[in-house]
Amino acid sequence: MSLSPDSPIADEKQRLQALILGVWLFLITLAMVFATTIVGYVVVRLQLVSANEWKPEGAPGLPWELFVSTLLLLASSGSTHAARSAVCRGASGRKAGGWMALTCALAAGFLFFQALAWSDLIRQELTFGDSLYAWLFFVLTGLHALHVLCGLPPLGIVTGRAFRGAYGPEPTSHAGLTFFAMYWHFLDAVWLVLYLVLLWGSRPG
Amino acid sequence: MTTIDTANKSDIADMPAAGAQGPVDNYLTWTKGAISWIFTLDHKRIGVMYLAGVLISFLIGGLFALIVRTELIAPGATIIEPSTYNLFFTLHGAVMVFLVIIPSIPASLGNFVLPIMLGAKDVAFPRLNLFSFHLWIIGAIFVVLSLLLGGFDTGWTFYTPYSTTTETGGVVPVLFGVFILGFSSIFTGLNFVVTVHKMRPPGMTWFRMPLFLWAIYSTALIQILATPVLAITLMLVGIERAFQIGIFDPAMGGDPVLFQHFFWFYSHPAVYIMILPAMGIISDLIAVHSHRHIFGYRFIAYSSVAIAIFSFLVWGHHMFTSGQSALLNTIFSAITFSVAVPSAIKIFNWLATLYKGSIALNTPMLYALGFIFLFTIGGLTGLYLGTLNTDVHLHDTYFVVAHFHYVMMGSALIGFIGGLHHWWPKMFGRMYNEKLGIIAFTLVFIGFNVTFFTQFMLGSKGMPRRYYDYQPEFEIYHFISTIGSYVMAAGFFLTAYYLLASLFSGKKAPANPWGGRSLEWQCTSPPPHDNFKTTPTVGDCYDFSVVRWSDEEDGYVIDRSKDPEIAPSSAHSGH
Ligand SMILES: [Cu+2]
Repeated sequence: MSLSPDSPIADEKQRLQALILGVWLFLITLAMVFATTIVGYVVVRLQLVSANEWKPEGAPGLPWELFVSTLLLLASSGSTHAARSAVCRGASGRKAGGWMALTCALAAGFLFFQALAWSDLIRQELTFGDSLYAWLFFVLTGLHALHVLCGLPPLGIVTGRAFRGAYGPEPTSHAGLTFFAMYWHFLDAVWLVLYLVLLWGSRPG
Repeated sequence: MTTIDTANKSDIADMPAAGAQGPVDNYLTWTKGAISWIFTLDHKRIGVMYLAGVLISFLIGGLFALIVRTELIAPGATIIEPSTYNLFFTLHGAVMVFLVIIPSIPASLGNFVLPIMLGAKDVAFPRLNLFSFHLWIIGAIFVVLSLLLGGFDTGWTFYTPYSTTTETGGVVPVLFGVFILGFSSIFTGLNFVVTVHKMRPPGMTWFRMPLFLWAIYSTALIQILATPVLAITLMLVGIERAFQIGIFDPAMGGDPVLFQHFFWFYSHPAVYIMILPAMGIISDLIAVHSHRHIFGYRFIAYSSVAIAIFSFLVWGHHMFTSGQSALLNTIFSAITFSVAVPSAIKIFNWLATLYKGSIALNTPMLYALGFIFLFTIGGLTGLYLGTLNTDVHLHDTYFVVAHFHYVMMGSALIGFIGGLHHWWPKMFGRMYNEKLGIIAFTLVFIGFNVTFFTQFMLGSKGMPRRYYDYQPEFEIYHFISTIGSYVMAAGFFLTAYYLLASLFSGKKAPANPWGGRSLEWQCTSPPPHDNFKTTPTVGDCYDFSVVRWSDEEDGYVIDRSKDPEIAPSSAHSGH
């Protein structure tokens, strides 16, 4: 299958470079989305802390599940990278597919622990509409989880294709895997920043 | 079907462009039927569809403006209720900003011209281009839907906490619509950046690009960086409205001024999303229609990038009265002044280009000269608003309304209309009626100044913007302003008439009616489906010494033998 058959760029390598630049620009756009929400978080927290209204009395801190999910997401970034290196070395479809299957499992684990963290907080009666402390936590983690969810269909497709040995060592022959890896590493990086911000924000003042 | 290889043809020195040699295919008739348009990947058709959408939106937004102006012709109730008036001025603003001016030049003219100027067959990602057009349509549908659900009266700025508490039912649909329109704009920008980076033809270095491309490129960078901030901010407002809690809600300890920061972080650069492409058009119009090499090419190119960078650092000048700290106010005020430098660089270089040029006073040139005049007024009055102490007096008055109409309409939209006339023969292969064009321009230009110059006086006398009713001493100004808007409307209706009439009865356009040198003038009018069969070689696109009039073509031709860079003998020597 040739790379984006509608492209007016004749040379396949240049076509790939154009696509990679396009993905980078799209990731910059998404980075601006997350940056805006994080700036909003920081500003609101600083203002509320100085008014002594940030963390409501008895509100829970950051749930322990988030630490586990952070490790899982980091690991999934690693396994994606391993799959891509395997493909670049010309390894068999089983090997690359195996790494990608591990990525699927880790991604599912990440989402599972995010959900667990949410239900934990809800059980401790931290509700969305009660305080901005809660509101910001749910909106920011929810926005990130939404982007992870959007990555699942491509993840499934890439994993299937990796198992079938559809990816070759040439950069133009595993472009789909490259784009997925860029997106996934990006989500990983965003989560790390977000996690640190939430960690800082979970302190009362 | 007989097709003629346009690029090879023009390789032959001094050969007339297509015409006598028989039928050349044309993108308008390449395939037939509505489906072949709605799902086309051809950037030219997508550009034409955007153009149609933008012009229809312009008609609607313009009618809203006329209703608002008519209501204001006399104090007290004139034709509509106060609450209806609030809906109409809000809709006028939202439609004009998000559906007309922002997509006008990049998405319609840019889509059409950019790949041809690069000698390419299409933009880098044709399918993404189509997708962003479909997003635009969906966004427009949501804006219409919000009308049916009761409209919205927040002003186009959606300031909180009013936008999260107002009773009007159309707020959430329009927020969603603008969110979608934002992504349409982002994908168009992304496509253009990649296209300019990766698809310039051999010989076209960065500093050989037509200045329109520099402008579109700088614009696209702003679209990519600023638009996502608006998109997520509007989503947060939507969530806040739905759940009655959010970070902009002061009742829960949130900060409505934070909304203003986010909003203007996008919306100030958005002013440059509107004006930069118009400046690019003017650079090309001035050079082509005065048949003179553009003066100070590099300065104009760099100033586009400089404006794009500055645009991210001045948003706070919209918030001098919001309780922002005095230090921040001073910083924002100072940086705002610095934007005057790259803007003035452009004006001086355009004037220097005109000097000793052989100026054709045709419709596109008149719009270009009109732009220079109106942009100068718009820009200079911006200094009063950027100055802290005068702004406190002028803030939220008609002075602001007049200022931004001089920039957004008198400059951005006038630039768009000028570019539309410039490329109209290329897009549709027909010449419009030049006499009517000049009459219409005169009506628009006079009507515009009567409408909005009056508003500078209104504003400095203290008339607040957006008010339904006013003191009797303001009546004469409002009356004159409303009459001016009718004159302007007459000019635009006349423009619509002769442009549409040209499609049916206009003279056939030659490949190069104006004597342009950039690549779009080297393919037929209208261009063939593929633009160019082989990638053409380019020279200096502002060197008009090799362009000469040809009677048999009834247009200009490029005498390739006179240019050492593109003459057939040396074209392949690879220097
Ligand atoms: Cu501004």
